Amino acid sequence: MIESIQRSLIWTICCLVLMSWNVASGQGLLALRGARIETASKEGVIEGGTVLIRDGKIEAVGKDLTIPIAARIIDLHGSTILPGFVDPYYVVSVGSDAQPEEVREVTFGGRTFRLPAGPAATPTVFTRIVDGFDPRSQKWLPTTRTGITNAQLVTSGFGESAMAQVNPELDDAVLTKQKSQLFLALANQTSSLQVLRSGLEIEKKEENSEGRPSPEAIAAMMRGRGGRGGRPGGPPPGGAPSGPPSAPRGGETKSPADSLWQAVRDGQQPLFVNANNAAAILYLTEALKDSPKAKVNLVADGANLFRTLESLDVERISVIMPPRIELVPNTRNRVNVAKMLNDKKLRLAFSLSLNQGDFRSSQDTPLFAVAMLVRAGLDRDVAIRALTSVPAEMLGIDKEVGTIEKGKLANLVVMDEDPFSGTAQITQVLVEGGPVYVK
Amino acid sequence: MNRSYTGKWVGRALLWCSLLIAPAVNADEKPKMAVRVGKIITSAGDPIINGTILISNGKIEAIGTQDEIAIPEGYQIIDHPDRFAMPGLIDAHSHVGGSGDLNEMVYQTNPELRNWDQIIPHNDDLKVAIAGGVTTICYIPGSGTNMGGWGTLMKTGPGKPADVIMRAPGVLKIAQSGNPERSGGEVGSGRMGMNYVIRQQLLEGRLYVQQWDAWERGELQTKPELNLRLEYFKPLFHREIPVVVHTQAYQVVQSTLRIVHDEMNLRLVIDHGTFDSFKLTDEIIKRDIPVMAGPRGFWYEPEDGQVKGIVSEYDKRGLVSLGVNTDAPVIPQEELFFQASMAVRYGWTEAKAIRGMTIEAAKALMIDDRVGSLEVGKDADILITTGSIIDPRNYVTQVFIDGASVYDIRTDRRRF
Amino acid sequence: MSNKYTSILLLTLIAISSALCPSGSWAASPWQDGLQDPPAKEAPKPDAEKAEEPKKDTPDKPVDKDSEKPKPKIIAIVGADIHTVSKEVIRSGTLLIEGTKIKAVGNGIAIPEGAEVIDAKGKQISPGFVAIDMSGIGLSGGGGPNNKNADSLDPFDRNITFALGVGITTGCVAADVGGRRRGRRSEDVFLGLEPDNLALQAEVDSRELDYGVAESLCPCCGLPILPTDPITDPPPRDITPAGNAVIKMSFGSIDGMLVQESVFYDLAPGSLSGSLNQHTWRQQIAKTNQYLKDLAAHEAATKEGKRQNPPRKSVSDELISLVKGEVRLRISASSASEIRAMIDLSKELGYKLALSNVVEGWLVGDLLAENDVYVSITPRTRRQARKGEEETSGSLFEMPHVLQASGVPFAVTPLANAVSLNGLAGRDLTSLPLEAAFAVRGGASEAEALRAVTLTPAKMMGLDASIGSIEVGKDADLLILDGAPLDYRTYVETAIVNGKVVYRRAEDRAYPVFDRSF
Repeated sequence: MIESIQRSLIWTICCLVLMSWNVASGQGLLALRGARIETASKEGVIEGGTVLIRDGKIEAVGKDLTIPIAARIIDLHGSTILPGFVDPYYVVSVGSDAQPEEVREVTFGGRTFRLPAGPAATPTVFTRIVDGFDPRSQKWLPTTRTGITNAQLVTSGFGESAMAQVNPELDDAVLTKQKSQLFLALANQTSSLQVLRSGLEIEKKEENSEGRPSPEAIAAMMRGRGGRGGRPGGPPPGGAPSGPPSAPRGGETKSPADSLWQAVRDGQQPLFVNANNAAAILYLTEALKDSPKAKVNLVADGANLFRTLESLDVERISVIMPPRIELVPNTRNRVNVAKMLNDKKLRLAFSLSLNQGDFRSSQDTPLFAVAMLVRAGLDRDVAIRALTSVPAEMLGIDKEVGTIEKGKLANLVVMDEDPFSGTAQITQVLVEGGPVYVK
Repeated sequence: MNRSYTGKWVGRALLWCSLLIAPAVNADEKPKMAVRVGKIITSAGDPIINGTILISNGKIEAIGTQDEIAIPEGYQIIDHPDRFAMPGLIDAHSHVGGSGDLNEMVYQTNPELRNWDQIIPHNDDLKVAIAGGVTTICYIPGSGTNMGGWGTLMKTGPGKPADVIMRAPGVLKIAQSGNPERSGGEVGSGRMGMNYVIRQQLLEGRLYVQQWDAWERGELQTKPELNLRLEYFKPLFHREIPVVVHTQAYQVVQSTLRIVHDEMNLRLVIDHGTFDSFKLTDEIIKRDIPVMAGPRGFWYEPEDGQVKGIVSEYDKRGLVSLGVNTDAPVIPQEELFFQASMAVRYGWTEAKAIRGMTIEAAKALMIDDRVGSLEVGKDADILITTGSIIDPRNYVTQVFIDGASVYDIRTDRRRF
Repeated sequence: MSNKYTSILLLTLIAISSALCPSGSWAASPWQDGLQDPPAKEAPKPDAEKAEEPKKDTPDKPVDKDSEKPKPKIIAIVGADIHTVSKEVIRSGTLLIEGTKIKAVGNGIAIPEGAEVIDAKGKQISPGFVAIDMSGIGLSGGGGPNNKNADSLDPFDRNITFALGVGITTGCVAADVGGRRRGRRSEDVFLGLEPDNLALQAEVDSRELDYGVAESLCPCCGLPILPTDPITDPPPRDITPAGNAVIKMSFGSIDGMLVQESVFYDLAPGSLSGSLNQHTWRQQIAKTNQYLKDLAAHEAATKEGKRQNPPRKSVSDELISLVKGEVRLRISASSASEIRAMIDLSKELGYKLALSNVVEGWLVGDLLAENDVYVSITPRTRRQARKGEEETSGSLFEMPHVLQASGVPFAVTPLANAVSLNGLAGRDLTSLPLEAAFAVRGGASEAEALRAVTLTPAKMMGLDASIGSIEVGKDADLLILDGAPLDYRTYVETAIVNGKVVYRRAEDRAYPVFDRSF
């Protein structure tokens, strides 16, 4: 008990020191000295190294750097510096009232039919995060406290993601202008699978008996319109979402969904697929066989990945999972799925926010679950990269973040001991050189 | 002068019986029979190959190999050279011995209720039950209240109520949890309340019996007041009849052991003992309490996704006084043997299963002086089967109850 | 301020972690070495992957497919007594599986080189059991009106393992009718269509012209759409079938899991009772016959080179299959009078029948046999005879014997069609082989009872060309059993579906694992 009080005291002092620095530090020149630096790059670990930050960017990293006279020096002996964590699948809620059930009136043969444009809340609604997401509605403290500096924001259903970075100015998060990607929550249901198949332009040659368009065709039309209830051509978010039924849409306008799907089909951009069960993963791998270039970043929990391990194509699929020791389904046997995936040479990223229970309960020691995986045999460098550089590559933001290297943004996490001790706590999170969270 | 209650009670019972039975069935009228079969399963030692059973006066007169036993003159010979004979099966938990109104639910405990006035001998359910080999049932009130009333031990064969009743009161029915709960806000909506009313009622009964015992021993000056509501507690607290306790799940069985056995020193039968109750086997063995498990036959352990046989889990932990029940009509009465089949499928053994449905059940219900095994002097409740009764492919071809053939597929339509 | 809490929380975490790590199952597992490997079954064999590889490669390099194709894996099961069902039992035989099919079966069969050999000496092999009626297994629910069974498979359903553990490898499961016409929300077909779309025209046409049977409720508010014509009595609704689909218990694989949909024209009990229903039914059948006639005429005309519009299709595919004799109409008919009524109707209208829940079938054995009716029975079902009619009503425990003697093909169904974990043993879907044992109790031969859970249901569904017995060329759906197929003590040790091992008793541990010394 006394020990813990002592510890609390030390932290309080640390806290005060850092807070004073917080006030004082601006954009200028900053040197973090004496820490163990997990660069997540080729450099590996630098013991007792220095990170030099100028104007929010990393100017230099190394062991024996000459620190300029003007630099403010923070001594971090005993601490570890890591790149800010990049969460590749951060689920946010986008005001669902933005997608009410539309009603269409169709006049035909002298009679008028009022038809709903589709059942509400299907997973087939195309959502653009930038259109409906309000950063101020999100509670960011858990995020910063967990060391996440960058995240891909997604929501349920499917749509176009947005990249976010915790903002030092506003103590908030902002959507960045970085490239957005296509995400899709997949279930073993026709409506959900059709979104995938039509997007990948997989022809299922099943003639519908009634001679009416098959669900595939319908889905294809939805895609062409940018989704039912979606906004063709992506009108500004302020537009009335539930306006009167639009006039017949004669011209083929290319929707944002189309160009994203095109990029996926050509293998230029990966598709982020959140599979809700193991069966959905099998359906996904089936679909990929018919779309030879497409690549997928598969989001799934360990138990489902464990069951489908053998069906995952290393060349085409990368994996995003919540870090966690899993139980083999229907047993009490624990299993380290992350290690198994890595042994199979699958590219692996962790999403710390994916398992909301773990995310909320482990904010004081955010890497506890990862530490358990490392203790159970997962390579620690792989674990570091799965939190930082790999997700950054997946999101295509690896030029700016993901490692501690010269020229990258100074998005850093400072931990008070070895990150995988299990008890390591975050003392400081920096975004572009400025603190966004100080313990 | 013998003032013991037992004497009086037995005396009265005998009087009733003689009064009722004597004119109806003259014991001498029962034919004397010799049953010869390929194999006799006795539940009292090793099976007898090519055996003979002599029946007279409704009882087993002799049993042994065909070499040992000479058939006296005047005995009707029933020959089944390729069949098995075995004791009739006993179900320790049944509700189909009479009308189906099993629960009076105004009071939480009902020691004033008894069910032998509503017996319907040889009713449609029991006719089929016989075809499934069931010859004795413990017919009890339901579990709608914590103390449902007094049950009856009865045969399934034809006759007047007095012919089929073996003992009344046969047992007391207590239901601990998982049915007798009352609606929220009342005492007895939870386990604390239910245990309270059970304990309270038993304490009242015990005090009553203790007062009468003291009076009978001459230790009291004034005669205790007669309370008809509590009269049947006398044989109970004299340990002449058992309590059958509707109790299931680890925690509930613990309280059964504590209240009914440890505090009240009663004879009891654990009459469901399902879910994870088997984890208490060592405590049950320590107290020498029989378990007649069922009607649930397995427990699905969510932690490891496995199905576990309840009986075999008790068996694995060394419990011998072990059987199955049907809780008929939850499981049809005739499928008592199939409850054992499933228990064997999950890991019990056939030999134990047959004992469990015969002699172990008889011991549990304290009627092993009359039924449960094929031994000289016991009731001639005998099944003739095409093979081991545990295998559903085999069936019962003839049934004797009290020495009379009550079912014979050569003359009756096959019922099961 | 919050530091104290933090510390306490932290300590708790440490406590939890240290409590977890050195004790219990943590210690039991090879923790330091990266935990255990998965059980062999959970992760399919590399061979299975190999078989898929050529598919993957084809888009890039369309080389000669035959030379590229690796030889399918061969499994040899040796030493077991093989219950072929279609022929006699083969003692200590050999069975070869190539790919997904049975390659050879018999005595004295040479084992090809490189074959995986399973020693099954002292064991028995039976075809996988076929459940004619299942629900809540292998298909995920929900998904809306246009959901397809083919897209809803869940090969990881734990119920599949429970079914395999008792030997069920194939079953007919209650399912949605894929894209059923005029379903409650048929309006969904309008989705995304423009008003000038032809399909919409067809749909609206059918509403106009075929008003009697069309959806007459407003699709948005659910209120009736009032016709503009004079109001008449509401026309009777069409008799529509419930959906069903045959799925295999191919645990872990959706490949080959869905065998066929709509193998029965399944009608709810009582659908064809009463004169109004029967009238509607006769009209539906007549309409279907007319359509088929028109279609044939159209095809003939087209052959002759005439240009002619095809007849408008106003009947469902399911009905066409029924009328063509491709599927059987399945309906519950427990009493003798119901059975007679259903047979009369089928004779009049010319379709094939499968009767379920048959109880009084023992009274009409010959009638059933004469009319090629398949029945499904639950031998334990007991029904009291009507008083005074003991000889002509009620259940007869020996009905299996009567049916067999009359030559009526019967399938056995358990007391319930779903897997139940409520604890009542031997009364749910997983009691299928035990229920067949009760058919033996009821006087059927062992062979007939085994047929009642294998070949007979396969024939009933029209799938006997691929499943139901052990014959060369049929699907390799097999059970390796530790005893006779219908012995109540027998457990499935290994289940093979489509040539792949999908269940192993010792590893799957769905049911108790113990050694029984027989």
